[in-house]
Amino acid sequence: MKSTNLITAIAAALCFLSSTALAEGALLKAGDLPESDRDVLASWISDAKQADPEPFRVLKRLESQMPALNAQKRGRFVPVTRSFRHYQHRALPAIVERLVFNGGEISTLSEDAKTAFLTGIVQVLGEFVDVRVEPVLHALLDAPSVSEFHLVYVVSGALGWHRTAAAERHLLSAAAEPGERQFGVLAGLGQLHTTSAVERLAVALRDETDAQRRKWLIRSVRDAGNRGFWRIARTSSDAAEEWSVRLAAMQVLVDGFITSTDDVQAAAANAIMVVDHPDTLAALLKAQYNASPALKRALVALQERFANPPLMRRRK
Amino acid sequence: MRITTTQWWRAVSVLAFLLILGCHSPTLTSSLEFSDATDATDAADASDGSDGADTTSEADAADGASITDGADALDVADGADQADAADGVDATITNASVDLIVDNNRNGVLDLDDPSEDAYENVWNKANGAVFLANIDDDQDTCTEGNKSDYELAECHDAADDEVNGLEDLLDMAPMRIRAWPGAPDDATATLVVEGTGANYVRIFLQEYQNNDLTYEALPQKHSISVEQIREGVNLRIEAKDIVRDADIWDGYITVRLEVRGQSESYGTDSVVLRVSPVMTYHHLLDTEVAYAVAFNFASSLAFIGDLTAALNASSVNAPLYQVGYGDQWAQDYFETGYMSMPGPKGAQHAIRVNFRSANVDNPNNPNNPLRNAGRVVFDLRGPDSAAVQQFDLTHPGQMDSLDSFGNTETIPPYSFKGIDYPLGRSYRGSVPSFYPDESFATMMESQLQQPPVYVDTSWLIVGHVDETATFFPTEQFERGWTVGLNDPQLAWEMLEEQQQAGNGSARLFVGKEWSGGANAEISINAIVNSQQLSAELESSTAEVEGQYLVIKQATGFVDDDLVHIPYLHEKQSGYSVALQPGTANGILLDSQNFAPPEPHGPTIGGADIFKVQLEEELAPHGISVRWTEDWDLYHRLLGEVHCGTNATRQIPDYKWWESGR
Repeated sequence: MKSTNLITAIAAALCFLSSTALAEGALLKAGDLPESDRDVLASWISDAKQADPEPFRVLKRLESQMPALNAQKRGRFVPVTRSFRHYQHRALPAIVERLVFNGGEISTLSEDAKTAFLTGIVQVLGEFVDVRVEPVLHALLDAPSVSEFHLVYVVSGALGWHRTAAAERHLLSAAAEPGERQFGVLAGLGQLHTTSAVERLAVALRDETDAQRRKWLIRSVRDAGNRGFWRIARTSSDAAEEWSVRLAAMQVLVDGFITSTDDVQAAAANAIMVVDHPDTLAALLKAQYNASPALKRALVALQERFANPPLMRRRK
Repeated sequence: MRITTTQWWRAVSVLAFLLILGCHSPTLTSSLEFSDATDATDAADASDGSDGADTTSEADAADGASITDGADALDVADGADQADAADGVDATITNASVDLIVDNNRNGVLDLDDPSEDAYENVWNKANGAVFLANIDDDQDTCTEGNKSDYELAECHDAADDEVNGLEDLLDMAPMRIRAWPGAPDDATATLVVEGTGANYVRIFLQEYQNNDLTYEALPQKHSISVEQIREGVNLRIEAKDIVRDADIWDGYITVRLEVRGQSESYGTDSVVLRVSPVMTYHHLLDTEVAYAVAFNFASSLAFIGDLTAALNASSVNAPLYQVGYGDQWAQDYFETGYMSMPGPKGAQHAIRVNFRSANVDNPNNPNNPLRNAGRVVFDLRGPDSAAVQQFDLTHPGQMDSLDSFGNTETIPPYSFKGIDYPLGRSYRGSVPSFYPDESFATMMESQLQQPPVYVDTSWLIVGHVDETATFFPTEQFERGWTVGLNDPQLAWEMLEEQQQAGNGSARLFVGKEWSGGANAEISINAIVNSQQLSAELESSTAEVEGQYLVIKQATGFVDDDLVHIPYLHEKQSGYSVALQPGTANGILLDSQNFAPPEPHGPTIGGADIFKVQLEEELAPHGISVRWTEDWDLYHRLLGEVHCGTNATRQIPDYKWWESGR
């Protein structure tokens, strides 16, 4: 690097660092973060901007396209996460900058475009785990600006994917706190993939009567025990944990199946298939005791599906 | 009411017959009431002998009149008005002189001398009963769009006025005739009444001669007919003013009752039951007649239209691609094609095509135009024998609006299962109690009765349409004549894992493609199969697709071995699922040999796209060629595929809906 360029870069970094404490992002103010974390992030972002500007450009272009994309969108949300998958961890600084330090054009977006954009970029923070991002997710989980259900859901999920003790404590605490955000936290809690999450979700599922919310809870339990997650995460050290989380999830889901009807029961059946615990058949047999004829038929059908699924493949 | 012993037995026989047939009989009460009249008019039967010859001549005269010259417009077969004598049931309880004739035997003409035209005319079932149409097309193309509101546009059609709008309009109306009774007493007058709720939904026209011209007068709901008209006979036409919207309000059946009275007595009555045609959607065993898409003058659209046109040229579709003139590329979503039909001459069906406008409410606060604008294409397509229907509920929750798009309305092809025939197939939609499309529209679809719906859960999908995960292919391989093409994420994963194990893990998918924001979309096999998120979504999406398939399986008796496996993976966005790779189940089937799915975009191994090779090989045994269609930028990137960007009007099936018994 030529000396003039180096000076320019240093100046830019200093300028950026000095302004970070006052900066305002799309969901957080820089001051919401502990100073040490803030400085680490600011430096990380500054370096990344110099070394690898492409993810920043993509984020900015995508943000500016959001109004048009939202106008022609199909379904609930404009897809955003996929735009960062190619860059993997390289995308994280650009996203953190937007969330914490520089809100960009986010305030000009309509509510649903804003939700799509923010949920999309936050989800990236869970897909490509980096310890530097975790403080941001902790702050987001407490932020008053994070209140829309889907946003709370992806923040919880992204923090869950970090699977640290701090993440677990914070998520369980948030899940116990009554209020409008509680349900979003519960819906994302399964992505923590722990027995503690499954146990908390079991309580929530037992108390929930709304069909749509029961489905979210069931899918959260499914996420915790998802065999696809565990297959990739598997190491010799957490084999026991995998077994216990999937077992707990399966048991909660069988209970959910028994206590549900219609599409909620079908969602529980699908979730049981996803968890795919070896003890499932025994649990389904046991559940047939004292079951009504209709429930018994449903259990037998699920048993048959589990034994011989048309699409789900068994792999180690 | 006095009923003789013989009449009792006959009535009981009729009842038993009806029960055996399981037929619809809204006029059962009426048919028993006829007994009164029968008694009163028994004597008149004997003097009825001259009836036949008179009506032959007058029927001929009417048939050959100027407006219908050379056409089968009146559909009255020459012959004597003496059918009642051979009438299996009605002759015993109605008077032969008081006879209202409809196309009860469904051969497309009024057979005045055919007993089957009268037999069981007061019941409607799979064997007999007249049919008429909702005359809501626009035969003279008078419904211009202009600046009309959504509501005004829907109100314009041929049945909106009291006029017969030309010969083509006349052909859309079913014929009826009051048989001539030359010997009618001087004090006789007749009343023609449409009984029950159906009266509000139909209009009857009376044909008259005025100055050597045929004219048609719309009758009030209860109309008096003079003795002169009774003696000469009267030609009538009937139309429905609307399709059935809610079977609980009107089920499409009507009873038309004719009574001839003197000053102090009834000379007789006759009642007939007719049914308005339901609207049916097309299934994939029917070849495409017209394909639709939206064209833009930029590269991605030109590529899409170019490939689609090439696919059409390779198929049996003769009509050029119809380019929808709205800037909304999701041509599948805002209209659904269908038809209604009634018997026509020589065993044909006289059909009106029907295009449903989607119930997508884009502007709930706009008092004039709340609906998705591009749905107006149904009014562009409205014309001779082409109708438009819209039905929506402004209060339907907006977060479920995507389910009202017609990518969420497909049709399972015909089949029989557990002793029940579905000769026109079944509607296939995403709908569960917690996530459902517009209920008023669903009620309308269900009220057609011909294609009882199969509902699956699409709430896990970000778009939420049934066409994202399944399609149906015609095949001669299986007795049922079709198979299910099903998204199989696990197969996609296995194919990628296999390549990884073969040392091709660095091979890339989506080479040269971009996501929104100009983001590089390329991704290696390794990046996919090592991803915890994609692996988790693999399991979740597979289980959900499997759940949908099990509903199809339970409804149809489909067997797993017959599946066409269509591999592509899903990804998660904001808590919902969507195809990561182009969803190759989401293509348009042009005819029995040509399927146009999206280009899968790799990975290419050894010079071949492994996903192309798989699908071509999978469909080859069914005689189907794959016509790859580029849709990445305009559709896949925006959560849709080829099927979402196209639409099709298909051939009307040979099967006649009225024979279904539904």
